[in-house]
Amino acid sequence: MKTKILLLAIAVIVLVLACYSLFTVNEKEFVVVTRFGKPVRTLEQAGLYFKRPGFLETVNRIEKRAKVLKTQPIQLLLGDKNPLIITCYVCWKISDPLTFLQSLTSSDIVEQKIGDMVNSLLGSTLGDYTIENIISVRPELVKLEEIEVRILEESEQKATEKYGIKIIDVGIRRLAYPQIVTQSVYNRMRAEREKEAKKYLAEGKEEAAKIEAQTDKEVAQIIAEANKEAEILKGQGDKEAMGIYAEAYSQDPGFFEFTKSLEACSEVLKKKSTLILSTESEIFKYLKYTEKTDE
Amino acid sequence: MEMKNAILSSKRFIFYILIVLILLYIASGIYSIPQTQVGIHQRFGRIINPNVKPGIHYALPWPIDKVDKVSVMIVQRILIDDFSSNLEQGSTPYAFYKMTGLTPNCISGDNNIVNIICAIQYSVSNPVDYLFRIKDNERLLRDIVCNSIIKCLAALQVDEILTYGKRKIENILKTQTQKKLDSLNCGLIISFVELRDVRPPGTVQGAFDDVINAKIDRRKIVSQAESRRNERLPQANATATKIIEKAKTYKVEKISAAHGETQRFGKQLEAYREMKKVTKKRLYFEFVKQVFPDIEKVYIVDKEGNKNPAKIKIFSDN
Repeated sequence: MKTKILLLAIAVIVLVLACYSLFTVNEKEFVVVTRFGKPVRTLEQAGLYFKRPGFLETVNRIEKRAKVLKTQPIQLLLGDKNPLIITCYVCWKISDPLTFLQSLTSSDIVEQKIGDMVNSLLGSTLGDYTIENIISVRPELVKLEEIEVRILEESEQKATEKYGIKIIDVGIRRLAYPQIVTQSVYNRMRAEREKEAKKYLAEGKEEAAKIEAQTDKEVAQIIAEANKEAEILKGQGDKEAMGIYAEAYSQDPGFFEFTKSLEACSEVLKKKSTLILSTESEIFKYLKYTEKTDE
Repeated sequence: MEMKNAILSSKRFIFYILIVLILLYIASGIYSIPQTQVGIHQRFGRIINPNVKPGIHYALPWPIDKVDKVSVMIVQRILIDDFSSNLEQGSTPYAFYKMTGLTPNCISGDNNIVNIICAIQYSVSNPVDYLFRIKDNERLLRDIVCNSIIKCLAALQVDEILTYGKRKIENILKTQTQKKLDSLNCGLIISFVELRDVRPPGTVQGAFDDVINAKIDRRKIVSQAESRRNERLPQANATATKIIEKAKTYKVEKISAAHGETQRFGKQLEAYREMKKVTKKRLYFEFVKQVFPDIEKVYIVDKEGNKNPAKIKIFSDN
């Protein structure tokens, strides 16, 4: 009975000891084991580990996964004195947990330091570029990628040495103009659009005028064509009629002249005309005779 | 004796309870993975199976094993409104506005300012990367999309961005963002990028609308000219037909008149040939009879040349 109780007690002690000295490291973290504040081991692989129990050794868990931070907006001058407001994102992770643990204490402070560092690098780097290298309709001039790579490389060196962290990626997250520049950009945009609108209207009017002129031309052509055809038709009619007349009248030109002159006279002598006739004329041939007998 | 029995039975009771508890503990390792998820099976923190398929599985109970479940089939979406002018409290643009006093926007290659909102659909492609490589996946995704938007728009003209280039921008955004995600081992895959709203800022929107209206007006002016043309050409054709018809009529009339006249002449000639003098005289008097009544005044003058010719009314009243 006594041995049983003894065994049980030993088992309990072992269990308690195990609880205080066994620990796991998962895939998301590093562990630095410290003995009274002094680091003794760095564990980078996940798994089950032993340490001296309780307060004799402390487990410091440090984030292994990459994190993202956003820098404070900063107003800078480009090489050509154009002001620009820039915000970046930085993707970083702890690469050397021991250095990290020794240099600083919290992630927040590190983030702030990284942000400041990136901003100061931005300031010095962007001085080498003009607005053409930031925005341009010619894609080969845009050097945003190059700027990001330069900042990444330079910040990486500093960060690894100082803080035991690795900067994985730096990217521009926002580009903006200061208020005054924005206003002038708006004004220019408005002016450009007005010009464009006027251009469209002018184009429309021009095209309409062209259509109008073309129509005028075609209408004139159609009418001229018709007139030509009409004249030809009339000419044909005249010619044919003349032929008919000529054929008929040539049978007796003397009689033709006589009938025609009668016709012509009847056309000429209309109402209200005054006729002066000689007594010698044909119709008075007989009347004259009577006059003479009266005398 | 009874006492002994009681102790014995209670001991047995505790023993059974212990057995049950141990069984329950062992059974607690049974777990299931739903259809849309995969599991990552870890033992003492170390991954021993990164891809547990849907179904019922067993893992050693806590604290030995641990299973993380990640949705892989479910498409998630985020709205990137960082470059919109939507300044609602709590939105990303509002945070920027509060910090700088500027309305968020994006700059195009020809130095115009635009507002842009896009929607991203994505899903988890690599659960291990997703869980263990990056801490703030969604935040990183948002940052990378913003970065891609800035780079993409910085090399494009505003007209292209606002009108015909949307599909192109969507494609660029998708490939650029995916490239970055892959190089950072984010474990995410983008399935769809959609430009939701691309527009010039409110203060210059009117000027842009004017351009659109001008385009419509241009079309209107041209189509008006065309419709006038469509009206005038048939009219001209009608006029032409009329002119020609008139000419045809003239021709026919002229010819038939000629026929009529010559026929009459023919008849007269026939009569004339039979009795030349009489017919001629008859025709003459017929003419006089027909014509003279209409004449208002007739003066008859003597051949000898009387200075005051006598006015004789012969035909008027008789």
